[in-house]
Amino acid sequence: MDSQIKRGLLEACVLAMLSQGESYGYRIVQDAPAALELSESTLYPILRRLLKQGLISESPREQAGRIRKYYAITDLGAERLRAFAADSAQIKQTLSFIDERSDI
Amino acid sequence: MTKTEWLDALRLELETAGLERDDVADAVAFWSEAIDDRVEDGISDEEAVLSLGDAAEAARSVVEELPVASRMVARASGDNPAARLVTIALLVLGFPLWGSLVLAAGAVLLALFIAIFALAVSAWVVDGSFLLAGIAGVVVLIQGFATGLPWSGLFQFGCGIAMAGVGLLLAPFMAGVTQWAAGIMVMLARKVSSLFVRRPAPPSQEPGKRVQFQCPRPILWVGVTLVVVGAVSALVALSTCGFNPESLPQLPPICLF
Repeated sequence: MDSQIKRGLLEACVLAMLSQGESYGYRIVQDAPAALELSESTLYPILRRLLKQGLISESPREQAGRIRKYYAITDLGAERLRAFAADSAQIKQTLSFIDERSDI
Repeated sequence: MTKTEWLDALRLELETAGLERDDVADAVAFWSEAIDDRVEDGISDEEAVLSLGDAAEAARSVVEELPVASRMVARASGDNPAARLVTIALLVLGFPLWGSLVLAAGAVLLALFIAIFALAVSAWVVDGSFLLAGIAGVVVLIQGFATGLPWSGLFQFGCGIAMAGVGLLLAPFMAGVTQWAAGIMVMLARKVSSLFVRRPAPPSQEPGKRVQFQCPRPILWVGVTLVVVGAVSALVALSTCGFNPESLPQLPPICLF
């Protein structure tokens, strides 16, 4: 998938997953839709970016004798997710517009 | 490849790319956790590492997130310390060239800032002088009555008050100009800083946040009233001299000092 499109979708996707409750790196990778082909290498920069923007928060916690970082969505992140959901009708329309013209 | 070897490779890649120590530690902790979680899922160390792919690729995903300026240094230096030295040497030797270009670009930018700022300032100076004409009108009216030339005073008062009305009506427009100028300056500053600091794109502008030239109702009414009162006063004064302002007797000049 084109990296620009994927980037935006992945950010929204991670926010959507965290809106269901906090999670950690490996589980986010497992829970992501297969179509996105999410790997740790793709996820890490997204998490950094979301953290920097204050859309998610991280809290390291001890788990079975080692530290695991849990990520949770913030109020700002929830707001961003709602804005994305509001845009989704527009996105779908644009996608079908492209679809109709790309079967050459 | 064991977990330790893979993480060491990642650390080396990130350090040679010039990443800050804290950022390197954060990234290494993230991938270490990823390996541990896989092992907990029931696969071996080696398999877990294998499923993560190349350490260099993981490092690249971190470096790609750096702002343009740091990334260029990181790219240019690569993983070879000698290449890094050469890059630094070239940067120092090339200073007369790129230094003057950067200086020129900075000067152009500064000039642009000053020009936009001056535009906003002059908008308010113009508006302020209109408003001052109103105060001057009141002073002249008092002087006119005091010196026994009430019609001359009233004529100048009318002109001054009408100008103050125009100034008041122009104020929201001037505020719009200021807002617009401030918006451009913020945008410029953001563009420049984005070369050095990677920041999230600003959220798309809400329709309500766009620059608007709206005139609040009270200002509109007071402004229009002032213009009307001024015009009527001036016309009344003029009617006493057959609408020939030159035949109105001149008021003596006011000496402030």
